[in-house]
Amino acid sequence: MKRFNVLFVTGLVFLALAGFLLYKFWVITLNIVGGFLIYSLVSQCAAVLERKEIKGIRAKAAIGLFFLALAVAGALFIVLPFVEQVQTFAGQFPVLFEQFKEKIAELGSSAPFVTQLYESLRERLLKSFSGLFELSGPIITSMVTIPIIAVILLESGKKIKQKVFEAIPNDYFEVSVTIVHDSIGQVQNFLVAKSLESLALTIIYAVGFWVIGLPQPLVFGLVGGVLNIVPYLGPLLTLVPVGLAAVLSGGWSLFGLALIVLLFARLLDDAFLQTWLVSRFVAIHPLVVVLVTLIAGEVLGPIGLVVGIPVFVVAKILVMGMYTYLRALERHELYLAQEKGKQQNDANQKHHQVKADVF
Amino acid sequence: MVTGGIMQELFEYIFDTPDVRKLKGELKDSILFQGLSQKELDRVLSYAQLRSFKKGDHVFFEGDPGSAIYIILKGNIDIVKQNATKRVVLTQLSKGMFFGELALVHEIPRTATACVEEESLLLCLFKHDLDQIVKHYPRLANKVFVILSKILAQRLLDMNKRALEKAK
Repeated sequence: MKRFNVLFVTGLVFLALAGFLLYKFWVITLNIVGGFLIYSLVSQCAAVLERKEIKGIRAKAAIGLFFLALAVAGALFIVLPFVEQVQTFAGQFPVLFEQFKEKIAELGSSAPFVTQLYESLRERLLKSFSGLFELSGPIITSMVTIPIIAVILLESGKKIKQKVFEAIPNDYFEVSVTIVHDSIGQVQNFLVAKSLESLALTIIYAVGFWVIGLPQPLVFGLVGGVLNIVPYLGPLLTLVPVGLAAVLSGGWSLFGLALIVLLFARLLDDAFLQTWLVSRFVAIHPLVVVLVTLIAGEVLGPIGLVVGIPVFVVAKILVMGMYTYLRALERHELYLAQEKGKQQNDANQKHHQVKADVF
Repeated sequence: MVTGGIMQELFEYIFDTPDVRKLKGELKDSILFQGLSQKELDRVLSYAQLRSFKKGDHVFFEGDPGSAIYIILKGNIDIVKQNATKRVVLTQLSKGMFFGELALVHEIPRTATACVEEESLLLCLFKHDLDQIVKHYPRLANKVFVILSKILAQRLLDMNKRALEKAK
């Protein structure tokens, strides 16, 4: 078996193992990823300030104030209305649930499989909710540790990068750094594009739902924005909670209007957001999208539906980076072997020449 | 990283050896950075990396995905083309010269190998870092690209001249 194949398979196994460990110790992963995200965000702010000749303690104070203002504004204009809407929804939930149960019973009398489907869905939902409560501990811990990791990175990120680069042997320096830059750049571009697309869709959905009079427009807007991370299936998944809420609170006419909002948002997304932002970074075959989403959903549950595609994209970029790197290694080894062979030849020729001169 | 501040400047002053400081100071005379003010040069240097190479090391290999330009602060570099039977030294570069500039303007694999002929100190500027300069300091990046274009144009003229002389 060729050495390249062995190295590539070994690399794949290592990547899979790393992925498994990241999944197994997801709290640590969450902390590291969160810390990196905040670090990237603050670094960008620092770069903007540096351009304006604001450095050192003044820059730190300005960034601190900016994030404090952002947190206060977020709490006042997003978190509070969101919590209020969730509370209202929770208050209405028993009534809506009863109506829903009645409708299911009506449908179940003519089609018994609907009752079965409802029961299995109910069980899954209850499981997911109890899971959410279990998550509250690690999430609260992360809220403390993520900023600490971000601060550590901000203070010593440049030196860590320098140390890592220094550890790379000279012969592999450029190719390693190039591939690392390419891979990180692609992942960053993908995440930024998807986040912007989701943010834009959240706003479009929320405004649309508010205009047609759907209850809790911000909650459903946010649900739609988050589910949009799942390509192709996201809008369909959004239709389920939105459609249910529309039918239960305003009947079929509101359902029709909600459908129009979803279609309108889809149109805007396909015509502008996808073209401008995402298409370059999500070049995956639709069939692969469906398969990855199904597998991730089966393995990780509802969270898998959302994180499946981003994880797949990141893994794809890493595997491609590893492939390019191993190909470069193969080329380097060939080149060095040729060089060594030539040096040996030159030395032999010199030796023969000396011998000939002697005789 | 929240850059800048007296402490960082002090750190850099202490940990940069006098030799490196002197070499960095000489960069202003390098053809690539002619016309840049000290402040602009410092800005470019804050994105670049210093790397030392031993004799026999390779800066890059033919066929590699390249993405950096190198300025020689100390030492000699050979640009080489090699196959199974032949090794041709295309050019020999020394202090003050630069190489690998094609990677900054054209996304093609390296067309030759850069071999270190004697212990060298190189300043590397990666495309990724130059993109950051373009993004954050477009006027400075514009200056660097104008200089780079002039150098590339001059090289093209020289090559045309040599080709004409050869044809005669």
